[in-house]
Amino acid sequence: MTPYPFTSLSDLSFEFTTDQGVVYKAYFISFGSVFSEFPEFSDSIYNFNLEVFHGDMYDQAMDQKIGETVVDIFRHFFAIRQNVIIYICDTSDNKHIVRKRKFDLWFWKYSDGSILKDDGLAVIEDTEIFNSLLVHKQNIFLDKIVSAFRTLNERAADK
Amino acid sequence: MENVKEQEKPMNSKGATIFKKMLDDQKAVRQHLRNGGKLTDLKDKYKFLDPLSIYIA
Repeated sequence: MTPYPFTSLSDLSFEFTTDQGVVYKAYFISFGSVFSEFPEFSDSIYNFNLEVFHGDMYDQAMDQKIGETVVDIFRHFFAIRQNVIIYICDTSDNKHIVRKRKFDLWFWKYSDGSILKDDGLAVIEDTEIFNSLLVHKQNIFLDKIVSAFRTLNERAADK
Repeated sequence: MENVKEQEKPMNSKGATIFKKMLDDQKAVRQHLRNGGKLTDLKDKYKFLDPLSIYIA
């Protein structure tokens, strides 16, 4: 199996079209400001997102090439080894557990072993937010990045 | 003497507001795309990675 080719690198996104004609946009938003106390790596931290741009995503559940394509996008992203991804499972439709399972499956099935994945569970009021850190194992700030990420998920009394 | 039970406060994660902002940003961008907008329309509001920068670097 081969991933879908990126049909466009414009509009600040990786765009690809599935065999069923569904168009996906994968994009990264910088979250350097969140880690401003770590200027040595803050500018390299991005939040990854995947959105259906055209078509119905519910027809795509069995299309394994989508996962392979996402991991291929990660492969390109991590060509710059200091780049870091934080992925958050959207909770707005209560399908965050499904998203987590799918994301985990994609990673473990298609990853080449060069990326460290660290999973977190954040709590806001009564909502659980599954999140993951992806960082290249050869990133020179690996330990500091993992430590900073884990701190985000630690519990603290609301003040 | 009246017993006053301290109101229990939820134990939020330290990064709760950060994750909430990420989710809010995702939602806003998704809505923009569903309305036919482009990411470039939002480049003044969010700092997107330009995929081309990966290949130039």
